[in-house]
Amino acid sequence: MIHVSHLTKRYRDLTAVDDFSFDVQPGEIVGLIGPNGAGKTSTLRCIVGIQRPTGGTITIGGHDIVSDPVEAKRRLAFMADEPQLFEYLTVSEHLHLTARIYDVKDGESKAAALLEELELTAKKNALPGELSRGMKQKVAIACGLLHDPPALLFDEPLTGLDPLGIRRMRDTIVERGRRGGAVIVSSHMLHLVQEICSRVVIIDRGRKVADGTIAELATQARAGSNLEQIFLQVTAREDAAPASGTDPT
Amino acid sequence: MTGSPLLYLTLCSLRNRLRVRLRRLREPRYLIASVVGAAYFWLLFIGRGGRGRAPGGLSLISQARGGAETVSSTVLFITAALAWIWPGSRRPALAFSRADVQHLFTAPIPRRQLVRYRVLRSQVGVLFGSIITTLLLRPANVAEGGKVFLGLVLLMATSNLHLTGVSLSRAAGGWRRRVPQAIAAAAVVVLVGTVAAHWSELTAIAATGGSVAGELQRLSTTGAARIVLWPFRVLARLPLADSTGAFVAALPWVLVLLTANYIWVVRTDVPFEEASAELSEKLEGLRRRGVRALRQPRASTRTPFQLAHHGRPEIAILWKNLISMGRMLSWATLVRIGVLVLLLATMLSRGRGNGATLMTVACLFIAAFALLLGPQMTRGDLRQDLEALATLKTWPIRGAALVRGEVLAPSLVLTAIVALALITATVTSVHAPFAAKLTNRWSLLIGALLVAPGLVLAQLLVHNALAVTFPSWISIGGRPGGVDVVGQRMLVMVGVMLALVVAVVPAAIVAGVGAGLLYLLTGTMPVVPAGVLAGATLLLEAWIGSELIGAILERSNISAVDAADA
Repeated sequence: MIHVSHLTKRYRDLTAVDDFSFDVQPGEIVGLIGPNGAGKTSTLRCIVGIQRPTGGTITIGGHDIVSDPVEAKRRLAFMADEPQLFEYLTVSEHLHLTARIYDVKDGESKAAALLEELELTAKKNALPGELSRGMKQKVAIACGLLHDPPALLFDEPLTGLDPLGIRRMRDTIVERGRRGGAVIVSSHMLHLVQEICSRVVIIDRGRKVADGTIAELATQARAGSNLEQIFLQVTAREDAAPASGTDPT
Repeated sequence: MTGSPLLYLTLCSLRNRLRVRLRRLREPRYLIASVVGAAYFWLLFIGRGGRGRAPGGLSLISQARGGAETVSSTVLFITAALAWIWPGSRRPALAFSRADVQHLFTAPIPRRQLVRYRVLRSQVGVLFGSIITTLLLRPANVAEGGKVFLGLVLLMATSNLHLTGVSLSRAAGGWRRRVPQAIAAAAVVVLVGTVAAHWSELTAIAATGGSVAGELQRLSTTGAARIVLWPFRVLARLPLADSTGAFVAALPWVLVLLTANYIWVVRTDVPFEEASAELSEKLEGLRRRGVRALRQPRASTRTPFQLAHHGRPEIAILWKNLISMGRMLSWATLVRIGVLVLLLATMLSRGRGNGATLMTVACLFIAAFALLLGPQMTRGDLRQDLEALATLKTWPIRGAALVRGEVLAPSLVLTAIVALALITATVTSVHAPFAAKLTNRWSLLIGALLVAPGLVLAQLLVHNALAVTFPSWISIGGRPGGVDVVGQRMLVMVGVMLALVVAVVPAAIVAGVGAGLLYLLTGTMPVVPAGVLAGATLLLEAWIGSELIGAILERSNISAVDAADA
């Protein structure tokens, strides 16, 4: 569903992403992890069409994000770490607008169901300024899920959420994967990635340094089954490695 | 020793701010903007020398120094009195930044020291304001300039300190609030009473064509009014002093006032943290989102129309932006604009007859304003959505459709205002001295209505093209000013005017050729067909422009600046 091939992204002299390739199949939840400045956000932004790749190709459901962006974006949902809402539109107006932009059939009923599911019904006439950060995140998720996208990308989805919100977000991601969505989750919360992702791609200094299931990565890296240990091993950050045997999950 | 970290913070912030400004001159866009801005200031302050030099503000003031002193001292008095008495005047005393609140409020620093720090920081603005005002007053020589500058610095610093002290005292409540409030109220009574007691004399002087201003000046320098206005007069006298002797004579009193206010402010031990923290959030919002941050949107407003579930995306974006514009506008803003327009219209139509003429002038003024300045001021398009551009770019719509959708709302609103104003002007211009024949007026009106949408769209597209290509030039929030920002604004203005000319020329040629042909055939000059041709050409150009801007938008990296965060 999501196919990234030899992606390169440069900003003037800085190469943020360098010859990066990976695929995400329907029903697969892939964790994209890496140290700060590794190129995760640039990769996600190129995949969703916010930024233009300097080189390589990205296709979503067979549609190239550069040459056929409209069709590719129809199949996408991007949940950014900081929810961006239109400050003068109410919650239900956000959903109405999204339904129209994505040409959603039965937009009204789907919006009502999502509002109910995400416990936003009571806030449907509220403006973003009247919502907490967690609520705003829920609105952004509702907008993202409204058109039932086959490809979903989450950038630091747990930022700013309370424990209940974290659990709900985790359930939402897992549920989308279970329903056949191709999901990418970029997060520094390695326990979440380990818990919900069927595969993990590690990026460091713009290059892919590991790709596989936790078990495969553990074998490759000759580290324990703990993703944190694998991550530190693969990205050569041993100096910060915790004592062996600790399990952050 | 405890004061040094805050002084260090102040000096480092100033130095680094200057360094950032200088460093970004390496980028051509900032360098060019700075050169243009500097040239503008040169022309404004210094370059108007020579034969055509107009008299400076100071030379005008020197012709009526006494009057200027009275006016200035009265303005200062009213400002101070309102700060004490006006019920709604509850501005937080000290404006700290978010970082100040997070780092300094939680640090083991005495409250008094925080007050001193904030007072010190606020003097930077005083210095800058004094420099600009001095340059604007155009002193004749360096000595005069130095005198005016120093006088203004001391005047503004004292006023600033006093207003801070007022806010602190009001926050303190109790006698610290009530006693000065009572004194301020008594002072107001004295001044109003003085004018009331001499009302008949003043009206008599006015009736005989005498100098009311001179009499008011005399009243303000005698009796109880003289005592009330004394501190304000002393402050106002310093920058207005006509000789070094007068300046030196006024200086000690001003220094006493400044010191007294300073001691009063730093010794007022009032918990200001909560109000200041609240203000810091407001200021942050202002910095990021501009004046919109200060407005409370009204969610209850109805949507402009029912958005169908399916259809062109442009209409969906139009719907979104019309909602935003509707919720941003307030009745207070409309009333303020209305009052301003009426005042200007009164001035423009003075001596030209009746209310209908006044209305005609007001409407023509509104139409011209909406047509030429509206596209710059109405920002319900991509400029408003720059912060949400990442979201917009994930939408499955073409860049050109996005651009068209974004400019639709402001163009509709502005065109409606222009149309309404022109129609009213046509109706009310029956008796206006400049009115043409009725049939001609209506033909001109229809011609203008046909051309207006294209003119508005052309300008809006230029502004949106700038937002897409140079997003950092579009000020979203309260960006710090500077020479480069002034230069950027001037370049934007020139760019818009040039683009307008470029857009108008083909439309004028098409309309001219078409009208000429019709004139040859019929013998009359057809205004409406020419308007149709010009309007259609402008709309075609706007369509092509939106396609080009859309293509740029699709290719643009909206956040090349966050490479470090990649």
